[in-house]
Amino acid sequence: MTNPLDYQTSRRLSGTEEATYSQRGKAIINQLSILLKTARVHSPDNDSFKAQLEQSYQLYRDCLDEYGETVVQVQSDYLFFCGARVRYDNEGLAAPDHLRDLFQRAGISGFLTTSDLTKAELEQTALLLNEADRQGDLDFEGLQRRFDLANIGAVALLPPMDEKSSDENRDREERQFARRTFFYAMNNLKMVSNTMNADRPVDLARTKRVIHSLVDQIVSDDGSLLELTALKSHDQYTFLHSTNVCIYSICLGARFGLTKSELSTLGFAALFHDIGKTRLPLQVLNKPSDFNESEWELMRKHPALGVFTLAKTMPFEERCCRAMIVASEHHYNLDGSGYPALKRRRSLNLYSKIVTICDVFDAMTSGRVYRKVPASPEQVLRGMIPQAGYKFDPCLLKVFLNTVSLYPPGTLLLLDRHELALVVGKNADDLLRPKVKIVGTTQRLYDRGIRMNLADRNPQTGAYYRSIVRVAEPQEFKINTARYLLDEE
Amino acid sequence: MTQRISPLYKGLGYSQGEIAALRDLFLSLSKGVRASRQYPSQHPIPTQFKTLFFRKLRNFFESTEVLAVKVTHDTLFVEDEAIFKGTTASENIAGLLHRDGVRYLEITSGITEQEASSLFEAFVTCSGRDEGAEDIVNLFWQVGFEHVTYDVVDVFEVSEMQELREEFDSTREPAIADDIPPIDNESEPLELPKTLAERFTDLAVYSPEETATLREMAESDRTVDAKSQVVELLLLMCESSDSPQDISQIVEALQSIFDKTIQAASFPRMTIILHKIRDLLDSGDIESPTAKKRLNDFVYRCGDSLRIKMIVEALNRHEDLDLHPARQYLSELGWESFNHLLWMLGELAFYPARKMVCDLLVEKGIDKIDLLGSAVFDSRWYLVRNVVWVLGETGHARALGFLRRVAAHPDLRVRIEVVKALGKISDPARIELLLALTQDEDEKIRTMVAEELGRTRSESAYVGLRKIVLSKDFVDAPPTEMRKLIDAMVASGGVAAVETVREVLDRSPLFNRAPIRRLQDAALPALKRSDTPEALKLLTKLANDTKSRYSVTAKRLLAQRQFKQEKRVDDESA
Ligand SMILES: [Fe+2]
Ligand SMILES: [Fe+2]
Repeated sequence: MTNPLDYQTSRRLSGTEEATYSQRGKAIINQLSILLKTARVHSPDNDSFKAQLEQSYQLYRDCLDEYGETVVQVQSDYLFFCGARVRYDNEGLAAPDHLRDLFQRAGISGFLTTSDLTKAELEQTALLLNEADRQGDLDFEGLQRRFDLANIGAVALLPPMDEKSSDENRDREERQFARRTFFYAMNNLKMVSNTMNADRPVDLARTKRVIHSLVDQIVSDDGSLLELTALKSHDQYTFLHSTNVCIYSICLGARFGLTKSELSTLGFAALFHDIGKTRLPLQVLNKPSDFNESEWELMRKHPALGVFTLAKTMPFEERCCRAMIVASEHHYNLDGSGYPALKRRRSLNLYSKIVTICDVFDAMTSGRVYRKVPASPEQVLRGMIPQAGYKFDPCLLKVFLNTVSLYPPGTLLLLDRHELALVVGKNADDLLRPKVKIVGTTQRLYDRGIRMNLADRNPQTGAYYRSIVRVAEPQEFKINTARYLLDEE
Repeated sequence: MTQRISPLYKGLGYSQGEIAALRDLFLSLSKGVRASRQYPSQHPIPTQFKTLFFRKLRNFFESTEVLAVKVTHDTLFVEDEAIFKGTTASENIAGLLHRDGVRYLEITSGITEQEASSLFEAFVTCSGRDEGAEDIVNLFWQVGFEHVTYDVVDVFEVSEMQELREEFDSTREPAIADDIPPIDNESEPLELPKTLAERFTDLAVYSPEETATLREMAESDRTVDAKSQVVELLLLMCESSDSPQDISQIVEALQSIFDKTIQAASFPRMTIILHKIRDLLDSGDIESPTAKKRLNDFVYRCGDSLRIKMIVEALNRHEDLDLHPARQYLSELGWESFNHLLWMLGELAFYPARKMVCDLLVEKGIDKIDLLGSAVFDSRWYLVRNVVWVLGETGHARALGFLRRVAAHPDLRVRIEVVKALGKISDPARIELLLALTQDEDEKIRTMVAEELGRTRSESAYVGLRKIVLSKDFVDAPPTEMRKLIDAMVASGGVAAVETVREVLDRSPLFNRAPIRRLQDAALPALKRSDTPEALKLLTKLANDTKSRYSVTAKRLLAQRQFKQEKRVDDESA
């Protein structure tokens, strides 16, 4: 069976090549759709059918002369031509939709044509596919038999792609749901903070709702949401960072026995920990170079500003009070250093201790706060461990390390097959072999990432399919992490 | 995550009887929810509806395992049979669910009374909610039901994913092969950072000490009072800051918190906050003059007109509030708030709250009679009445001046209160005022005044009363008033009063005898109010004079007197 993704990798398409394939594919798919629709209303001796057949054959001829063979195939609802995904904008979706439905009813995922394709064979193909579409009750073998009987040698039907196992489907649905929740959380935070900055009281029902959903998802399996914490953005820094810190905090809290309702409060507090920053001038927040002393002084005000903002705009409830405490304490260290400066030392709130760890980790891996170049997650962890006991609570740090594991989501790995892979999750029983998305090779990047579990082995030999060579830096390979994290929809 | 579809919705095959029971169940729920909004939660009516709801649910589950309901904006369905239709907004429980995204609701047969009660309460909370309050899905979530599941459309499921994604698309830069630096073809050996790898080998294992520490952290966190911590934190920030701008913001935040505390009618916390600020000011730990000033201003504002207004609103919202903490808080306020406390009397909707403020004013007003008294000039009779009550309760002679000013108040209810107040002030100067009130236009007042005067047992009261009793018009007074006045005169006049009675009894006009006889008939029984030997002597004489028309009455009065005396002796010996 031809896997378009394998096809693509083996062909090593360049960016320009891929664009050409997509263009050609679009033309062929449109023409095929017209031909099949014409066959439905006209008999083969009708002039319009003949005209469409002629046009289709010419298109095919050109492609076959150039590429040797062509493949039109559907996978995961996308149409591929010779392994390249055929891209459509919102218009012109009728043809791909038609073909996708037709292939499904005919029991195939697509077909391959070899260079010796004749016009008669293309005509037969169109008629048989059309018939199968009309009857709709054929399976792959049935249609294959008809093609065999018709003696169409230059066309090979492609069997339906293995239906994703129900587990995989569920995983995908969960990932999609996680993604929607994640973006909603972030967008909602943006709206809420706008309201707050206008000193208006906020409606927290939606915020609570989305945090409840985050808690539910994390308690059942934190993988899908942790994966998304690898998203970093410059423009949306504060909101994305806050959402990430919220997710890390809930994950951490869930691992040492906080109840769901406590997790919801913790997540709420974490989400608003940097709300004071939205009161600072953007030119300071987004300053590309180092801060001078007066800018530093301004930055150090954000915990206090956060408390003021929350106190003025939120109801005086337990969860909002936690948010105020966390906003004010999240830049304090265990040893009493940090800011804002207070006359007396207070013992830090548990939630503040949790958020501090998650905050530092996300800030350092984002590279937006107080330094320009983001460090790799693994580098950041290495830097954090020696600070246990001074800056961070050692037990909580351990729980955090357990949560994100040795290769936290977003870590870029170089694999032994010269492939580049982004970590998206971990295997609890083998921390050295995370779950990844292969995003390309050292020579070229793929259009979409391919999910892979580095713990998978070849059942015959027992050898791992792939192994880690080393941790790499995304900017070293100009990889846009977000693009691969968000490529499946 | 909530269930995405309700697998049980179809195919349960409810019988017609069950459908009817469900119609009844949800109708009763909707009525209960509406009724419960009008009563405090501890009131018997909501409690009854709650019990009823649970009982009906339990009956339904005797024959069925699952209740699966489809929700639309105004109708609840089971298996496409409408079982509830919300016709009015106040009873539309389907709308309450639908509005917040609930599309299916499933209850299973194990539902506990506690769960049923939480379900009921969630409906009540949501049906009366203001903009921005809890939504029903959040409430359900917080309850953490075991036997209630719901299928919900979350707002984020229909949000614009595409738009959000584009925020990341702008930073997309497709990589070009030439840009990618070549790397060594030979695989570098897998080399993990040693320390990290070692740390991670035992990462998954927690030592017993670590487990204990973590558990301890979670446990002790549950005792944290976050609200108190926030206040302490803000005060510490205030104490630590020397930037006037920061201090202003801190105090502003504190004020916002304090005002929300008032709105929530959390009087104990208000008192705590006030104490904390006062303690801090007293400690001398604040160096910044701005901070001192701002905090002093804060304390002043705790009882300003705006805050008192908010307190009144809070007290008027909750009829069943425990008023002790409220009184405690108000009693903390300084003199500058005294007028505002008086103002409260005119605004409070519920009697217990008014009583609480009156009691407080008595306590505080003893030293501030003039301030208190000035309120008698208010145009609202009910406020004046309360103030008069307070003046009376102080028992202070200075109150008399104000009572005099209000003794002719047009509202009878105020004047009644004045008489009662006079009864509570022991200063002799009150007699004159009471005597003046015997001329009040209302008989009730005059009668009350007479009783009050009698209780004074004072010479000056006697003199005044005698004058009234002997006046020409007195014979026309209404019977009760006449009797009470003479009683009062006898009670306060001693021997002289007995003499006055004799004088009345001895009168023998030539014509128009009837009014005089009425007066005499009222005067004779008044003798029993006098303990003097002269009264006994007079009675005995009248009793023995069998020709006198007073003889029979006098005998009866003597007998009563005898009986009373014997009883007193018995009681004492007992
Ligand atoms: Fe921060
Ligand atoms: Fe932060």
